[in-house]
Amino acid sequence: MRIKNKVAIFFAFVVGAIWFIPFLWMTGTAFTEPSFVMSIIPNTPFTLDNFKEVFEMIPLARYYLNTIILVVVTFGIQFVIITLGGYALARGNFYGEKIVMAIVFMQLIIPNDVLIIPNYLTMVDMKLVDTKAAIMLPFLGSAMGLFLLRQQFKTLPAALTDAAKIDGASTMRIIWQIYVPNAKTAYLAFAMISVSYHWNNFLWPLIVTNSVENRPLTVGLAVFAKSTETGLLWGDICACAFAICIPLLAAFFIFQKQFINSFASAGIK
Amino acid sequence: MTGKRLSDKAKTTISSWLLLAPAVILMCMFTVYPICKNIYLSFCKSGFRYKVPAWVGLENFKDLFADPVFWKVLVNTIVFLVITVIPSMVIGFILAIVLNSKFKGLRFLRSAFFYPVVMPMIAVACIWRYLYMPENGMFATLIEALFHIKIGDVLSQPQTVLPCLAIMYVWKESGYLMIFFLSGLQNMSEDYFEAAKIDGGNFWTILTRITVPLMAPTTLFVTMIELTNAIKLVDHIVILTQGKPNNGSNLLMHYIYQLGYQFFDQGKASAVTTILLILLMVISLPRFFNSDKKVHYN
Amino acid sequence: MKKKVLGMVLAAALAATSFGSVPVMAEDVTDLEFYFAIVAGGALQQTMDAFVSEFNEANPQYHVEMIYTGTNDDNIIKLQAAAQAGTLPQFYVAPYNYKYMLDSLGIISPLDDLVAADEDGEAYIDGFLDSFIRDSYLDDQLISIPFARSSCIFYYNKDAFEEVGLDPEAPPTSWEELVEDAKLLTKTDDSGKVERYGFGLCENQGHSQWPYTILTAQNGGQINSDDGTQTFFDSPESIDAVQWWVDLHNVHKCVPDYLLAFEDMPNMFIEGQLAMMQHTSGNLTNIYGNSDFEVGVALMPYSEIQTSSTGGQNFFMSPDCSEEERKGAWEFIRYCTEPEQQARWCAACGYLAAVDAAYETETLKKYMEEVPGLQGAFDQLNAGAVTEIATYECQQIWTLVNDYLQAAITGEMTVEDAMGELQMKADSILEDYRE
Repeated sequence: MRIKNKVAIFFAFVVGAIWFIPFLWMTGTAFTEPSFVMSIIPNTPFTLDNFKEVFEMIPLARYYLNTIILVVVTFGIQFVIITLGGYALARGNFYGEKIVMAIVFMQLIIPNDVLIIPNYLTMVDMKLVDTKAAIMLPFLGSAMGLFLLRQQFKTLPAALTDAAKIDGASTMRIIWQIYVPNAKTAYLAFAMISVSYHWNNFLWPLIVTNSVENRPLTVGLAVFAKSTETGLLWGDICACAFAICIPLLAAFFIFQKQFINSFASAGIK
Repeated sequence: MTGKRLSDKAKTTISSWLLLAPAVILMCMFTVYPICKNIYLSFCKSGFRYKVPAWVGLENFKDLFADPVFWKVLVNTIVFLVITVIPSMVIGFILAIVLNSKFKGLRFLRSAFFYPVVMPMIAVACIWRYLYMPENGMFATLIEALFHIKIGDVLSQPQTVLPCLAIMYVWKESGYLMIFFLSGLQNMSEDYFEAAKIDGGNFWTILTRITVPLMAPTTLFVTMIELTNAIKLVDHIVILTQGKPNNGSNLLMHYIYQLGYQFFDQGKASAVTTILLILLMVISLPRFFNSDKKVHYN
Repeated sequence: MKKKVLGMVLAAALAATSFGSVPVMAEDVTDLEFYFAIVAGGALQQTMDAFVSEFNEANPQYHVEMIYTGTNDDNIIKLQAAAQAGTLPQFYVAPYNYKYMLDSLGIISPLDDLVAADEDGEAYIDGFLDSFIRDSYLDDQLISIPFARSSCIFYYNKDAFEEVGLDPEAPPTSWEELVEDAKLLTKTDDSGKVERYGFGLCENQGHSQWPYTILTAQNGGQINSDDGTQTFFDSPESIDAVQWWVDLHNVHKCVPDYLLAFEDMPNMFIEGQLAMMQHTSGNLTNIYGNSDFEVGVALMPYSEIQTSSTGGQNFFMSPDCSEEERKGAWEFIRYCTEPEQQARWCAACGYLAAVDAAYETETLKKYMEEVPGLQGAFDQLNAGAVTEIATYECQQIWTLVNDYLQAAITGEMTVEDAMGELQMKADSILEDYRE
């Protein structure tokens, strides 16, 4: 079903422009001198002082590093775990398959974000509170990743593996040399989901960490935005928000199509 | 014959479980075990004053059910779900229909509607707090210019606080839902529409008779995702309202955070979590009924 | 602890290699850690870092290290976790009115022995402003030392006073005068839009307990019992204070007609949208630096009793520390609260110096030329400033106070109902702590 109506399309552009306002707002405020009265188009001169101030006031570089470590390590470990598990699930035909699928579905229905209380207590017992490991652990065995790869692996023709099996290749070799290279789209999709999820995650890192050394950007921004005795410094807050959003936003504006396709295919349909 | 096949399966079983071991162990530790532990804790008094959780039976639930704040929070959550999920689905659906065509500027529009999805809610909430600021905020200025009404602080009035949070949420989520509808539309055969057009069907009849019914599975699936997403969200409350005014914008997930990490009443927090778990199960029921029918598995 | 062990091992190794001929040095260093809930970076961190390194340099027998713990909530959670794990720092900085809660966590220790052991201990304690040191006692024992303190003070816009024909040197002194002036100062444009509100006090989550404390205390009311187990939210003084507050909205219409946010107030004041306000002294530098009109700081207008309320954080010491550690922590705390350090702290970070003598230092005299309002804040402290609501389970009690004040202000409940229900809820929480 397609629309050819010019009015509808024009209307869509108007709404699209409105959709962009918050972004323009953030950017405009971040790059101009503070003004207390808001206007859609910034009315004060361009400046980079807001960013300078933010970098002076909070250890933004440290938060950046933390977030990057979190995102990269999380995805790296997830990659291995879901590849192995996804292969087993795609191959199927083993005792207990139903149990595993039940657990996978359980996590899909009840996201870890809801289980903050018991998971926090587990971290206390494991003496992992205030570590990066604590932020990552609950998400490493990703049901979504398993499911996504299982679906992708299932579409690979059996002929691919049969030849390798005749050559006597081990399961590991089959996985890494045949399955992994043939599931690039699924990996890309999951990578985008995983990275943007952990880049943006807030509540769990907030609860399970309490020092600068381990906190990600989102928590840094929240603490900053809430800690102002002297009233909210909008220029600084917008600069900080901008700095946090921009890596993902830039990636999105460049690889728009891949992003959208990834989210579409990984919604766990 | 059967003996051989059995041993084959037994072999696969060993290697499968080995391959799945890390995933299964992690999922058990951080999904299955916490669910059980949470249910147990909801029958205990627990928190920093109690060195070990002490079994109190249904007391936490009794306390909750007797507390008007809990009911207020529950009602808020349901209201918030309704006023976010329905509008963002409707908008997402409309956007999908428009963006399913080919015209100049499509890329711009797709970016416009989807970019909020990749922004962190924390940053979004900071920006919207600015937009919603009383007196000098854009929202207040705009309403004043358009309708000559002074609206004050929309985030501190019981009647406006949830709708305003919902507007922000719809802005953030519509683009996300749009892409599911878009892929649903793209998977639909054009033949249906051609046939309908030949039969003289106009836009509305095609929309209501063909598109909407064909999109039912997608819609069901999107509803479940969106309900789950909206329920687990708490970042916007932390930044924008902290539940003000008088719990007028307190939602279940924020209530859990408050009980557990500000009041240190983990028992009660677990009880609320248990209720939330039940809610999530109910939301996901259709998923199970439809699993045979392959609602939308790739 | 680990460092200490390592130090000893190193020292032992050193001693062994040199056949014991070198005097052991590292062994004598006492390691001290403390938690402080500040956001890393900025003037606060710089000043604190300076204090720490100066102290370490001057006292080689000690090695102090500061650990930032983010927000106050983080600080408490981290302290609690450390207490459970047995890894408490030797001392920490926490909100002064969390003392009952810290007591129920079992992580405070009396400091009287340290005062007694110090040759000028009594004089040291006497050097603190009464309004600050008063909050440092629990069961007649000294349990904390004022450090990063502030007070709520009364700011007003002198230009606006002049504009409406009020004497800018005669700010209101009573509630009645405040209302009169606020009504005069409230300015509406032709379309009915309020351009300037006469007065404002903070009404959002996490902050409204402050003006509540002040108004009730000004009315002569007591808010909580000295043992932190009893509140008096439904006292006539309390109800009257809240009623006056609500009337500012509904009857006098001289305050913004919504819940005014603590964070928004400084910007509004600077923009000339608030003519008078109660706000933290922590804003003095910001407001004097950014306002393009003449700013005044005066004593609080009051009903019965001239008073404000203090805020901020104190040093607390953990139990179960060795004599050496206690002594080292005490020395460090004393260093940070010397007049000169308090003056630097005040000038750099906007906290009020907690000791009288600091206001006589060159540092603060110079600062006071730039920010004359500091004198007003100092006068307010001497005129009266009570403790902000302090009870057991204070986070929960504060949240409740905020909730019910909001219900009263937005008209969801009547003042009597709101305060009555608040008292009932507070009772049910504090019951457990009463004997």
